[in-house]
Amino acid sequence: MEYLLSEKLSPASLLDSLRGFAPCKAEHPREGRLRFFDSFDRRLFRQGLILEEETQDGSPFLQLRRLGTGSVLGSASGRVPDFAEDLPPGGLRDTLTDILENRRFFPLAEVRGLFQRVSLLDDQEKTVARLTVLDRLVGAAEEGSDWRLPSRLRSEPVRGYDRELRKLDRFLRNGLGLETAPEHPWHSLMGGAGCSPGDYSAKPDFRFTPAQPAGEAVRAILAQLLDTLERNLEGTIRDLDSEFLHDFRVAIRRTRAALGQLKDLLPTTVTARFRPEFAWLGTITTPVRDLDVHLLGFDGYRNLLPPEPSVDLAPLRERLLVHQRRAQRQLAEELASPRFRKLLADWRAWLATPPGADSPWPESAALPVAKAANAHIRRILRRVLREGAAIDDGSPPADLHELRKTCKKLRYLLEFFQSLYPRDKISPLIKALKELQENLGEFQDLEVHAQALRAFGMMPEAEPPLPPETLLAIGQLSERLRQRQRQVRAEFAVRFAAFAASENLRLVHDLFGRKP
Amino acid sequence: MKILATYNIKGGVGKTAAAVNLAYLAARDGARTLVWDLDPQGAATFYFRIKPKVKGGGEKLLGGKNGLESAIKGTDYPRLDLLPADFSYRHLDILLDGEKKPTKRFKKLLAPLAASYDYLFLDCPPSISLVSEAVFGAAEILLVPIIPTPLSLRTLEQIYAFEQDEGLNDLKILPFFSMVDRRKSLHREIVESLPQQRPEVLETEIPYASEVEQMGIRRLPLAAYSPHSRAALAFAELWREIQDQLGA
Repeated sequence: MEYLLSEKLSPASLLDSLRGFAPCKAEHPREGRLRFFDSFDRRLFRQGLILEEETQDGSPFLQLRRLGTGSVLGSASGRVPDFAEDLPPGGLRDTLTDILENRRFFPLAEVRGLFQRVSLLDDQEKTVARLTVLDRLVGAAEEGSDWRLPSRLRSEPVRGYDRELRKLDRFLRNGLGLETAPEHPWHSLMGGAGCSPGDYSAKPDFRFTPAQPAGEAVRAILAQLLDTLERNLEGTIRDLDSEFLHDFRVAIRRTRAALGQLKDLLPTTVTARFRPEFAWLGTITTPVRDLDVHLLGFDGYRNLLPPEPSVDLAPLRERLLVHQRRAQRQLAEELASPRFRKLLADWRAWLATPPGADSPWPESAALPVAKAANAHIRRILRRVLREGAAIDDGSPPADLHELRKTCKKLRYLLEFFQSLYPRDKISPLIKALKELQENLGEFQDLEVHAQALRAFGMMPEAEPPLPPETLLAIGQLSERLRQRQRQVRAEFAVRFAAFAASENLRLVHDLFGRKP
Repeated sequence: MKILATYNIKGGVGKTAAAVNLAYLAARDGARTLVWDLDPQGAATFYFRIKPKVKGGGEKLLGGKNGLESAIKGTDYPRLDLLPADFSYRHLDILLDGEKKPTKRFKKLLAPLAASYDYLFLDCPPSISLVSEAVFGAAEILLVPIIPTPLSLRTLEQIYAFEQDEGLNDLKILPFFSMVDRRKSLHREIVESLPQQRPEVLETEIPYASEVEQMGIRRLPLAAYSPHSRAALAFAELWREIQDQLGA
């Protein structure tokens, strides 16, 4: 629980009042600092949590707190490392790796001040509640200047002494007139810097009204995708964690899907100018992502093999890392190139052009977005059903890959326009599509992995050869991946039939009109 | 949750001091730590200034739902909690005997604690009984303090024999020297010779020191009042060694 200290109540007089309430043991006030951490995409915030790093006398200590109650879910001594997996073993590491996965910690804000610890005692001089006075607080959120925050009193329960804590709470609120703090100091700092704590999400949120002109809606979609792309640019260039590039690429793919699938709603000069450029962007980001996928899946690789060969894979990991770093350097150069800078600037300029002030728009751009969305979704859905139905047990992997790409386009269109449809109908359809996509995605990933592993096994002469036991382990691994791929392939027919089931087709009919 | 037990058939060997001081260090480093004072004498409970009383006694702890959770008391130190001793624990054996599979029952009893704690230290009463048997079945590490005397060595061998008989393959027995007085030639000899037969004996030895005895007067863990004393530093070193073993 946290309370705000009013201007009138100094920490010294608070302490005097507390002593009148119960025996206390107070340490000297000491300079301290609290830093607040979350991932770039605010995964902790979304779970109602924040990671605090408290430093006093140079020794940092971490506490994962619930926003609101302030209760502590886990703790460890030491600094906040780059990634949760670098924390010392224990509950805190387990909880944080579950939530953050491969996302890095980001410092969001910090606050400095005088911290004083006070223990509330019983007649045996045993601690029954712990308090910290946080005084003279000055802090800053990212890219913000310093703010003064009101002094606070933090109370922490001691297990088994709930009654004492309730009595203390009554005394603080009724006896001393303290108010409970409405928000965590981090929120106040973010608010001061003009940011909101949950201001980034990798999942865009498009909202339209059915009668809105379609062209305008598509431009709004593209503008939001550019925001996501730009927000992930720095993290991608610096390779802070692999999710920046992932989100960067998803924004590119969505942009390409919009430029391609909805081209009849945009000026032809625009699609002609930008489609090839975004295709280029997709191509230059692929090598790093492929290597990231191998590295992220590496533990999974190891688990596919018995213990001994799994150890033999270690040199492969080293090799993958070397290649990843090389590809990353190259990508960073491309993203600093005049071509990329110009693409961003021109694209932003066009997105910001007021309607009517740019090159002529096609007539269909004036259609109500709901009508245009129906027609486009119906068209791509037909293609999914046609391509899927044509696949039998003898079809080559390329056919499945093609269907996978078509499914992605459909998925993006459904996501762009989902605000136009009743949630209880569009959500089950997206879910059914997702299940089909999972099957196709795993099949294709296994295909790429097995091919890439073979390529690593037959490295060109320029590289030192991998040890024979590693090559052997790679061979075994490729075989395992092929086995799994055969399983996944065998499941396709069932998955596709489930997607094309009559209840889904009925949903399609209800949502988009006519039979697809 | 890692479960460690401090145990010896013999009493007065520094068992409780080890449980209390190691648990204190674990909590200080940030781990959520619980000590269960299983000894009806309640020395660990006394050190933490907590009343040796559990509502409903051992019977309620073993029997009811949330029996353990509701009896836990926080200590003076953040993250360090205690399940106090109760005089009724002297009948814990009889209570466990009434259960069909005492060891399994005991494990099941501890399982819910894993959500709240990173470490559980079981401070066991001396002697071999159903309670110690159940503890052996539940713990990952059995810390055995030994005073370097022939009699202590004999009890250590009894523990190993018991481990063999019961087929406790998952239990890691980690003996360490306790209350070592380097002025005594017998102590020195045993400290040198035992690790040759038993390489698992931990390297750190806890010296015989009056600061450790002061724990009973001050009712504090050693590092809370004398953090730079030789014995306190030895406990810190011992804890590092144990953590290495847990990681291995």
